[in-house]
Amino acid sequence: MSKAQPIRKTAAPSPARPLGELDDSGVVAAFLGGEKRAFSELVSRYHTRLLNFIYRTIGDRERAEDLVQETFIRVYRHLHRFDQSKKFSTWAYTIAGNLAKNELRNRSRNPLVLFQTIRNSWDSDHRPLEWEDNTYRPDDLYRKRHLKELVDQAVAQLPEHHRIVFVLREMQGKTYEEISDITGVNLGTVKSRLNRARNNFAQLIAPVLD
Amino acid sequence: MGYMDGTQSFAGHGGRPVRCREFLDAHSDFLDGLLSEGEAARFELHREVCASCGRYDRTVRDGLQLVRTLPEIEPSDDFLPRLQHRIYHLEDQRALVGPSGRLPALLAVVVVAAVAASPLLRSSASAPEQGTTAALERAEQTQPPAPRQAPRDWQLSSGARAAVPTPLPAAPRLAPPSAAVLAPVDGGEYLRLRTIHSLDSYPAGPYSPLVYGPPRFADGPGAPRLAGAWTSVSAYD
Repeated sequence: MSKAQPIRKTAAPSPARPLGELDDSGVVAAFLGGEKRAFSELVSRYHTRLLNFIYRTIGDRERAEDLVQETFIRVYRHLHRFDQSKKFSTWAYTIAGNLAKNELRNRSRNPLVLFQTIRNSWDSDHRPLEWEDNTYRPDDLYRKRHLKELVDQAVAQLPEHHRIVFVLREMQGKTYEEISDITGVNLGTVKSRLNRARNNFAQLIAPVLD
Repeated sequence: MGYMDGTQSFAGHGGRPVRCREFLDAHSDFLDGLLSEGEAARFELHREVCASCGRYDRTVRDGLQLVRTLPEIEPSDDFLPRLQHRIYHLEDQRALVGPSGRLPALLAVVVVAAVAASPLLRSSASAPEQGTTAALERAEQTQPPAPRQAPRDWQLSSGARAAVPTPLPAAPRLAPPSAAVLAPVDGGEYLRLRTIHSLDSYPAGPYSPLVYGPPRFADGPGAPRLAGAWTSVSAYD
């Protein structure tokens, strides 16, 4: 007995239109319609973005590449189950974000690291927001020479659950709503985490910006 | 200079004064333009009259500007070939599993061929990987059968030869390899055999299968030798 096919909310693309001219949902529909090359179009659109997202989240370039590969494998396997009323990019970022979080969780299996992670997370969420006005610190001026490197380090030093929101917002240009969908936390928490992440970041970067 | 204690306040635009604590707590909304016009005006006034919060605002804005200009990293050269390889095996497994969901012939997707070679390869190449990739890409685009191609950078010794594996008996969707490339690994100490298959039922395009073979070495004196046969092409993931 055949089951009723779900109604596609995205119209199948015209065969005359090149894949590059289609939006994501059109490319997804093309792939599900049997156009194998459509998958490579999705890969070309997202592999660099996802790589940078994961790299900034976990801080390991090679591992980030592995996880982007795994992301696309999962996309390939499960694209037929993807709800086409949603944005493909959000779905892909959700998969990538979950893989990145798993990676960080696996790294913190050491009980001491786990304790420190929990403590740092608690601290970063519950301490009052602070701003130390250290305008005059000439000993830090030399750091300006390595500004970009220090910005990199400052991002890496953010607590994990702040960093992922920070990267999605500031480096990937996602909206609050998209971040909420990707991370699975409510909008209020996204706002709160982003504000704290920016506050932490400002404190880390202030000495080199003076 | 210490932490702001949240006691500084400044009235503005006829509204209630903004405290430093409030400024910090809602700064993201201010930054992202999510405050109402009146609230934003109060925050702007506070930023102007409170040196500390003014500096905080500048630091956040300048810092975020720097973050947004950080260079992006690019995927490595072998990212796409590796992904193609994995997708290919995924397709292959699907084909083998079939609609019944069983794995009737999974173990039979084996045996590419016996590869014999001796004595082998001296390498004078300093960066063989780029040449390998280029050779693979070239070979991938050719239609089988094609003669074995060795990258020009690498010098094969007179007795060296590489046997092109025989067709796969248990993998009906695989055609015979179109090329085999010998490549030095780690400065020529070892050998890597890469074989490129074409998949006749697969459309030409970026996901034509690319099979990487692992080196098999025989111990003993002299130059390294490829030993034995390959095993399952799906085991090299």
